[in-house]
Amino acid sequence: MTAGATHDDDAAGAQDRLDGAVIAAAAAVEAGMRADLMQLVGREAAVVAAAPAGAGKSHFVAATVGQLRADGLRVALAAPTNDQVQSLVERVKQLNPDVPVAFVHGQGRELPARIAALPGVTQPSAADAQTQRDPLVIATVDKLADAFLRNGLGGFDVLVIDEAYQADAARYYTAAGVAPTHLLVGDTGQLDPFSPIDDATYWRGGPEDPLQTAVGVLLRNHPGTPVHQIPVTWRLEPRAVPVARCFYPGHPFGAAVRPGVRELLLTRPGPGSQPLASIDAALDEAARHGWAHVTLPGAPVLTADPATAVFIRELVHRVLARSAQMRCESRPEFAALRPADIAVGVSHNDQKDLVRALLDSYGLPGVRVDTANRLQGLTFEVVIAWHPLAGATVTDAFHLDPGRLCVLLTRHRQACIVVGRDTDRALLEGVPPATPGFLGWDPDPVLDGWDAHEGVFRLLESHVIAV
Amino acid sequence: MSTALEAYFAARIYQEGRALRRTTLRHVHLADPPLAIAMWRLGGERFRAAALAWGPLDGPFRLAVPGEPRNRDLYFAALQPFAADLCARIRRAAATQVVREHGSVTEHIPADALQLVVPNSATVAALGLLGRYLAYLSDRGGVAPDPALVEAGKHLRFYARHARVPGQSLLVPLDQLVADHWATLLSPFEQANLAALDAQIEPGPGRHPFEASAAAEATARIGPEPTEDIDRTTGALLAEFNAARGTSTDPEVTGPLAGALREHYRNLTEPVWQLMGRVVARERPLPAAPSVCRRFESDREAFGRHVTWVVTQGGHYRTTDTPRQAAITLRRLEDTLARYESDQAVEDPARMIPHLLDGDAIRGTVASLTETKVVVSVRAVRRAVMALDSPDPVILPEGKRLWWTATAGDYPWEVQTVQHDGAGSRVVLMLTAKPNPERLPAPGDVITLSTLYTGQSAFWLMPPENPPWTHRPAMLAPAPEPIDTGDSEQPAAPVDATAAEDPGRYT
Repeated sequence: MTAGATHDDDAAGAQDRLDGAVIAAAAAVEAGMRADLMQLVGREAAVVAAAPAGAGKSHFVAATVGQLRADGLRVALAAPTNDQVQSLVERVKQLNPDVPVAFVHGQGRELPARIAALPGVTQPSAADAQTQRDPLVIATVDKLADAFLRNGLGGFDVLVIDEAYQADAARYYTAAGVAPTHLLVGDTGQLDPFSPIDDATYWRGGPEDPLQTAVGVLLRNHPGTPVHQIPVTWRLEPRAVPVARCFYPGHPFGAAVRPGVRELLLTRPGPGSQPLASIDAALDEAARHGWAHVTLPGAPVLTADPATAVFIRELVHRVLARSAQMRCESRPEFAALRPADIAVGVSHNDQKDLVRALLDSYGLPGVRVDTANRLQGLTFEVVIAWHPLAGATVTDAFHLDPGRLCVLLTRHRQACIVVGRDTDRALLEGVPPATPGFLGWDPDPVLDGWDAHEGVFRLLESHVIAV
Repeated sequence: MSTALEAYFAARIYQEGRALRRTTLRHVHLADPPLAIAMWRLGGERFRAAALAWGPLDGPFRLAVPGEPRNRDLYFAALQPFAADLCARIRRAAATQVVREHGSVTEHIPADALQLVVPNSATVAALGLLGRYLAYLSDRGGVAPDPALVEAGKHLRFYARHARVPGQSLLVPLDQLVADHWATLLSPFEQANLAALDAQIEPGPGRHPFEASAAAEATARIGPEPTEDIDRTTGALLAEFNAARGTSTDPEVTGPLAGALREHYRNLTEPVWQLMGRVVARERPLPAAPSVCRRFESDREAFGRHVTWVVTQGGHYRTTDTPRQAAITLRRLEDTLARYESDQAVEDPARMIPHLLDGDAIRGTVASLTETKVVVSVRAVRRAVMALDSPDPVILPEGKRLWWTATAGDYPWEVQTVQHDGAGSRVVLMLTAKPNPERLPAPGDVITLSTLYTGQSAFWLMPPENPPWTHRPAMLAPAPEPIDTGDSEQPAAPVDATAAEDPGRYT
């Protein structure tokens, strides 16, 4: 429920609830990108759209695909994960009901029945999609590459890649051949491509580095490629924007929604009892200010710390027990917060399993629990983020990664509750660690992460609830 | 790496006063004997070996000491016997081939491959750089370098690059071998010192491993980086050598003059050689894990391809990967790593412990095994349902897929329910395939299931030969100079800071 819904608003209401100047600036940038792209069609060239979290990328992609189809161009639309492409099918159909969509998928990766039943959506094999010359094919980057090699699926006019900062150069290598002209759209603050191998930095700085982003390899080889910065976030509200800006240095953007339009109301008062006091305090703080930073007592703990997981379960359970209601720019009347509106973001799979099992035991299977990697591109009303540094004794590149924290703190529309320990901030005192340098590669995720974490701790200072 | 297990090991080692084995099996192939190499660099000269020792580990080593390694003639003359010997051993190892049936394809791969062992990972990198230097030598004054040097450079480069493959056994850095098979109280940085690792395992009577490894670290010299005291001695001997030889590079003249330097490096190498021998002798009796043989077969295959390319076809390697090569290599390394980690845990109960502690695996007794029917793609199919009683609290979400270690390369079981039962749990799982007898444990069996899959990774096609326009630079970079450009130039004279003119600006 982001850009798409807001576009349906009546004009007068929208004017009250949305910031016209920010939206106009974003519309101008989007129009410029489409104009650039249309000029390049038929040539080996690309346009890059760099967006902050919740900038309405998918809406922009779907609208652009519709325009390309209206001009009679054959389009391949891809994204790195199955979840992302399935949601793209839905979004394209919402904006372009008359455009036929061919979803090419891997084994066992069919569309959910609800999306598959949309009129004009088909799920052909790669070979059939090529034989039929389906005008719009949607697939994961991997599937598109495989279909290109195995079945010759290609000959498109334009390749559009959503979440292009998540796609790595290795995967882009094969998929790039399906069309001469590319539109790469992505969120620069999210997690970079990564690999579990020990020396993943072996190629770093070299033009051949398979782990640079799709956008990275494109700009390295073709530095003249136009890059447009989308200056709006539809998902985040004004109170969330300062924290989000920590992850997008050099990229100005503002919230599309005006202050105070979104509201989370806990209709049953707290605290219910002494054990619930800190939980209710955190929920009240988050409802009032959009943020709460819960700090459990400092202690070195296991990665899947049971105390943190139980606290998170209680937060989820309690926010529903207090009959939370919410309203926003697209739904001005209060409506109940549902389990499906809540997500718990973690850094490790064992944390995910632990929280999942605890929530299941409370009969809350509808609450999404996932790692930051899997939450990329998704939106929820309320997010509870297990802080990556919670209870850590040392900092390391994985837990300092600014992309991970960015994903965890930019998924919400109403409120975000960060759960950590009161010693976490002390990890960032003193001198940052020495980090290796690589010729031809300027970013430093560890130092960038150090800065971003410090900025976030500072901005959340006034929302700390010590347990 | 489980934090809980590391904490347990640290406490036990502290209490018992010596390092503990992390494995019940050896996960690396060890030849009998491997060819060992130890190397010493000259100060910060990254491409120069000031001394290089080599030989089968069960015997004495041969030593190449050029005297002045920055002199090309002396350097190449000293390295030539090593290069010739290495090339001969590699060709010999590749000469005997065996037939391997791979589906409908019949292949020939070497029956054996020359295994190299080195004291530490730093030596792997040093050999890679030495190989990088030798493999691309250019003619000097119309005189081509000894072909054995160039071929040996290609071999060393291949070995160093192959060392990236998880679980490979062609080039074994012994510090990594020990660190993988033993739990010690050393930090990852300290584990780079083979002597310190060895001292934790055998600290000696009455010595705590802390003291033993601290003493070893203070006194042992492993190479390839020289310590300050080595540099000081080497510097003095080198100055004497250079003064005595003048500009001569005649082996008749320089040979006798390099005696003191040879003795210096021999004394440094002797303890390293003994240490390597002791480490390998300690690890070899441990039974090899079943998958070691398969992984070494992959090593032999790579070795055979390399020898065919370099020796039979006279091929060269690129200095850097193309985007296509890098993409393929990354994918292969990721697949190999996943399978290696799974192999280790599935075959070695000690390696499964971290997964059990981290919740990636469960162990318990099969309480019951029943059959049911479920609808899969409109057809009702048979499925086995197993109830497993675990003595531990199990925290797994419904739908989680787990492989029984006995069929870890086959179909997984899916968690249906988890019920807590006192301190333990009852987990009900359903097999996601036809319940053939070989896929089913018997009631009463104590079994382990985990998230680890040991089967082949999904088949993937090679990316196109020609890179897309996105991966080709708009403008070609200029060709690089040969790697040995400037070798014969005099080094720049040192700058006397006191005499230097002040430029008056510093930005």
